[in-house]
Amino acid sequence: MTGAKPIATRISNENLDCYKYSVCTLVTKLEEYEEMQLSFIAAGFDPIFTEFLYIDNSKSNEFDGFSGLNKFLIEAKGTYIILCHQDILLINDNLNVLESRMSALDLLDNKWAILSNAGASKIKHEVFTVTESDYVLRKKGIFPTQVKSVDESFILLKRNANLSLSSDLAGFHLYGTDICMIASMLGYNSYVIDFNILHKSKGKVDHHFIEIREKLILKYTHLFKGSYYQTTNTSFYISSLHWVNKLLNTRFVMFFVNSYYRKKQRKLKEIIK
Amino acid sequence: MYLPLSTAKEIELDFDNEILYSICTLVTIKEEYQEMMSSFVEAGFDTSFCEFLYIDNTTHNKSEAYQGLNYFLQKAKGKYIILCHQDILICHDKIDRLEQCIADLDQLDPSWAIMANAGASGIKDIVYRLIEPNNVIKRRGHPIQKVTSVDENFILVKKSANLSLSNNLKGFHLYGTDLCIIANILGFNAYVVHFYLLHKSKGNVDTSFYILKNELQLKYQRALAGKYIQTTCTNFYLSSSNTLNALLNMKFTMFFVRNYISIKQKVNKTGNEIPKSEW
Repeated sequence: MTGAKPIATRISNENLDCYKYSVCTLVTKLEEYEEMQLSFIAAGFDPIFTEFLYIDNSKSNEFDGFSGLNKFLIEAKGTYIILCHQDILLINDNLNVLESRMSALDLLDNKWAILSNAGASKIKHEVFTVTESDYVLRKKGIFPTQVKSVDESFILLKRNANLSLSSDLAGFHLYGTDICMIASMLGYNSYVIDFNILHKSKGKVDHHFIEIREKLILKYTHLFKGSYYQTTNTSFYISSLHWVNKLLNTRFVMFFVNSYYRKKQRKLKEIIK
Repeated sequence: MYLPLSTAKEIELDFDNEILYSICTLVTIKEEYQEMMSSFVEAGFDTSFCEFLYIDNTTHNKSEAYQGLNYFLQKAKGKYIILCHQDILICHDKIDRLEQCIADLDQLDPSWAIMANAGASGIKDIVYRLIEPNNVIKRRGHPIQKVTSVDENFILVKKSANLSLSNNLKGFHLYGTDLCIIANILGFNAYVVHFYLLHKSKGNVDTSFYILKNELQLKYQRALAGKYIQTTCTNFYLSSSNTLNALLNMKFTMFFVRNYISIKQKVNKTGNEIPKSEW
């Protein structure tokens, strides 16, 4: 590509990431964050291959869970991005344990994109490994388990999955559920692994939580609604119901739908004229 | 013992991209790509603030479109990422026109994330601005128009929206539609704007197009299916039906659902509960 060479850059799938891990945290208490960071380094996350990124929410909430974590997902340079609370400590399992769990998962399912120490696969199927502030290990389920939601205290993502959180949700709750939903839509899977972290708090289910829960349900209810899609080449109907899709995509139905909209377009044109 | 905070980096609150545009192309014909690139530079996309990225598919398809464009979306450094075919020429409207479209859209809808010269918003509601190889100007519809799918010849994406294409679709068709669906899921909107460009081909609707169309329909049919979501703090039912959601999220219904699953779990106990957590 003689003429193109000086200004065009060829993209390849080589891994040229500057860091292996990006550890990203929304910080409200700087001392607690430093303690968390120290525990990561002691667990093997050497700053040579780990970048620690934070958003300073200590004076005011510059970013909420959704917008702040989206910012991290864009800026982080690590092959793996860890989104975690400032009130966790890695004092039990270390980086070697985490990497062995990741290697095992690579063999099991190369479409994994999200890992956590806690989550749930369906109603009453919570899975977790966590040490709470009373230093008692709490463990439930079989590991690894594929899940539909993860707890927000510790989430590890593959950067090359290029995940995002909803831009139309805001707050500090349920973003672990949202990111699993988005990952699933993009064709990736989420897992809970046996990785013991110390989490100092138990989470807060307050009126903000209830509000975000309602907004999340409303958002996805609206999204899940069936609709017709028109491209410049074709048109089709997509909904969650197989038989409705079959029926509305038959040539017979599409003929009437196309005729109806064609007439509607003509009328609109006449009105504009 | 505390570490100095200097080992951590505070994230900057505003994006400050040195590169304004990343122009990304899957290349099969080198000469055609060079011609396209030259047309961009002549239209004002100066290399001092634009990067041209390409995947070399000349000898064989190293990357199909979904995977290749996902690479671009990750690796591009520009504030705006242009995903375009090698067979377009920016020979009519220039960069100032495109920047005017961006400014107009910023005013109209800050949640825009995708912009194109062609797309569709509903059945038979197709809108485009393009020039055919015989220099015939083709126009339809009234941009600026919000759309649910865009044509793949020229797509401009806001880097800050951090969009992706499906990882479970493969091929060279309908990725404009997929990108719009994903953007919509993430809370962003797509628009067709008044920006003319020359597109040498009319697209290729072959067998692979229809296969991919079925796969896309099937994928989203599954993704949009109603489901119970359990988190570590709550549980709820999500579906497209408000009535069904209201019914299945009632305390009364949830009580029976939880009990049914608890009984089922006891019968087929698989996990070890030590001790029960108070999430």
